[in-house]
Amino acid sequence: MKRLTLLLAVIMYLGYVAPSAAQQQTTPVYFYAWGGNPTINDYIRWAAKELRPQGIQLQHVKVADIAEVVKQLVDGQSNADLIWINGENFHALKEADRLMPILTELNIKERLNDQLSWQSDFGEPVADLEVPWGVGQFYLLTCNTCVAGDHISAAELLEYAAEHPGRITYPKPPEFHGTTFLKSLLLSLSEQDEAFLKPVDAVDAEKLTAPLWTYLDELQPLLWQGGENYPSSAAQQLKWFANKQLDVAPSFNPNEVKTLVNQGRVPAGTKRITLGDAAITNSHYLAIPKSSGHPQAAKQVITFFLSEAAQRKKADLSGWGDPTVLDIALPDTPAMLPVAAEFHVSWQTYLEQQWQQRYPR
Amino acid sequence: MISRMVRVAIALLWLILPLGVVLWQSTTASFEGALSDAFRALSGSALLTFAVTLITSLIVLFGALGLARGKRLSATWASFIAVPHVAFAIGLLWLVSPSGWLVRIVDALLPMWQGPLQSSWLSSKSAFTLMVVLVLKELPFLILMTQANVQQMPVLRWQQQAQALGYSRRRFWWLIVVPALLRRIRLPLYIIAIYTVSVVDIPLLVGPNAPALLAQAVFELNWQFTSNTQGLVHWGSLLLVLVAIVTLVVLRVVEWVLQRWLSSLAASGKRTPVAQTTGKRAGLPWFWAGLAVIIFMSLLLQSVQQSWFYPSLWPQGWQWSRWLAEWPYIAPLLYNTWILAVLSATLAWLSAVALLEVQAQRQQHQLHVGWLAMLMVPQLVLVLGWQQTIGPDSGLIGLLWSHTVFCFPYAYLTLHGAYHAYPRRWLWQARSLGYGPWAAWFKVLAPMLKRPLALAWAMAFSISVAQYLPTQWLAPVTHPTLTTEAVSIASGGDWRLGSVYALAQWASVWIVFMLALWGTRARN
Repeated sequence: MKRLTLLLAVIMYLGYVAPSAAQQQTTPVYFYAWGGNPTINDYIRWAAKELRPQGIQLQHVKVADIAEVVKQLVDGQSNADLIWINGENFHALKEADRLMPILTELNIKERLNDQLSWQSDFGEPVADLEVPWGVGQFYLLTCNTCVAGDHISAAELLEYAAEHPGRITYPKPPEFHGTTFLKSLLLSLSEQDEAFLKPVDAVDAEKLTAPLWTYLDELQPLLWQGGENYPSSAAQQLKWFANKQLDVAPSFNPNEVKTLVNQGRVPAGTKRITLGDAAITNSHYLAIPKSSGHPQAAKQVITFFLSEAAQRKKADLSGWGDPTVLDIALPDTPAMLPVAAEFHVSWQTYLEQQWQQRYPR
Repeated sequence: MISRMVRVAIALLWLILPLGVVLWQSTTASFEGALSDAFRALSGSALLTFAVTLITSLIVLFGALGLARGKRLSATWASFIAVPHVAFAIGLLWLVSPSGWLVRIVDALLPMWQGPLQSSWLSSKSAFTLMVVLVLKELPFLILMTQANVQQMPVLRWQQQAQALGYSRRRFWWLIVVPALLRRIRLPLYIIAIYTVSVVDIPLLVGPNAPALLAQAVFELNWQFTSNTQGLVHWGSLLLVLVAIVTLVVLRVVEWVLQRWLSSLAASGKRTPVAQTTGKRAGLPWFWAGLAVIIFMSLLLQSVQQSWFYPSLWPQGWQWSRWLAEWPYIAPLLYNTWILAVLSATLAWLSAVALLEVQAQRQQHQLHVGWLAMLMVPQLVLVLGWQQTIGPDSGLIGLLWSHTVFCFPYAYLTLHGAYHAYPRRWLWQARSLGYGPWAAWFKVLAPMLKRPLALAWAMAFSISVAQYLPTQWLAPVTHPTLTTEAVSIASGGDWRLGSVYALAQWASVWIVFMLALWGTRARN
């Protein structure tokens, strides 16, 4: 009995030590954001610390897929104050009218780098509803001795896979790296067809994608495990790449080729190549749901995230290393890759569904 | 009268209410979309789930029957079964994956061989890996349950008779003891099968994904927002129940066939008079203890390494500060995990003890399936129903209740044997000496059963710590725990940090088990 009391006392003590810091008068901001990358989580922790003097308690709600929250928001049962989205998730929320107009009010437009064409999110006008936070470019990480040059076309990839069976794979769509892998192949096979910027319904999608399926039918058996299994995430594929089980890993962060080496997550001698001639480029955004309980504080958080200090810290190669959206010069960061425009949002679901009908049996 | 009220209250709280909510929810559920569509989308997953469950259950069953004959497992050793699944999976993969440590040793010893392994068998994600993790994790549980049952049978007396009739020990075990055992370990076996049908966190880490196991597929579908997925989720959970039922039926048939076969063998009267020794089985506890130590070491090394690429046998760089840097973020999760586990374990334990006491007074010594009903329904189906009723972030009360619903049957199951084996004449004697009923319980029964009582509480505690789905679906924002965090980080691929959380999770459970054992050790 005495021991039990002692145990309870210890637990109570732990309880006082831990949450007491949060007991002051603060406004919580529930920030729903993907939680699978420790450097991003660290960055958000840093932001939370910086925001505390402003009376804001930024709480990172780690989700495996932000679609989780999109569904809750559409169903009208979510306590999210701030969300990190782009593409189809933005599209769904915009269509359901769940986002607050904020971009003009926050008055940051003129500081943004217009060359990033952030005004359109997967072909969908942002319409004041979201604020760009960072930039993504899709490319492959590979080892110096694996693939020569700085790009690999779809045909060359197939050749490589034939010579090295089982060394290539991609995350299973609908994981977005996987879907973007398919898009890059499609661009390479169609020689940068502009039709993909239009909605699926407006073009002959079946005819446009036919070369991709013929190509994949050839590639699939040469993939890791003969295409019978896929990594579930880019991070998982990265881990296997780092341990020499695979020759490529996908990335959406053009600086990751540096940051991952710095963090000891991939060996030195890792380089980046684009799949096709250019890297599919898009922005990722911050948005505030209409149902937010603390919209004012959430706006303060966005203002902070878009400040020069926060953007520089975000681009820091010892941490996250995500390119800035501001019009500022950052020395030491690798140059951006050649840009290929992102597909219209409707292609996402179309490709995912077509792929799922064909491949995992 | 009181005893009836106790039973009704317990049944209402931990059985009728939770099941009722799900049933009520399922009557209002929309089964949009054609069944044929759902079937096409999910039949692969369903078949795979069925195969994995059946194979796992059968290996565990025969493994337990074969191994339970050996040396009796001590309670200390039993704490191994309390290693949380997630920590176990993360640690085991480091050992056996194609670029894992065992392969690295081979690579180092055979310079001609170019690793890493290109095999789909023990790949980091495959049905086979999943089954290895599940078998290694579930087997000790069933061995313990089997041995607990053997203790309650007059095995020694049977054995003397059998030996007198010239049966070898092995034949005696398989022909006499096993047939009697099969019926008794039916329930724990079914619990393992149902667990396998509906487990989500382990397949997320090590399971295949083309197709995924059914529970994982439904779990992932549940956060899609396109219109037809909700119908698919409902069909999927229905399919999950169906798979569960079919599995149980098949296991029942296997039991029946085995009974017939063994009794026909016994009826033949054949015997081998050579008395075999069973000495070699003494190594068994060491296998698991060794495995636990290696997995623990693996997690520890992972949590402090900075870079460790194939084919290095030892980390190439260290980062000792990770624990210190991470501690401020672990502490609140530790607090969440412990508060929840202490409260739900205590509630579950009190309910289990009250129920057992009432049953003992009425001389109902049979283990009743009804009380384990919540372990007989796939967890995903239950939690989905609760989530749709009380919302995706409902706060501590709902969460506590959901954990207790799962802790209670385990506490009841763990304590059942010892409690009913307790000679109640001690209580009558105490009463005749003038003790009141409460005083008799506390002063006589409790001290004598202190170890089983403490272990039952620890078991309930460890069940709560390991819960993933209820926490993730009922209170991910207001009450994240070590387990949800460990899965989230590990599925993001950085197992260095994932190991930190897995260790914190493991340590929580281990400390409680050690306290339970140490606090109740026999004094000379």
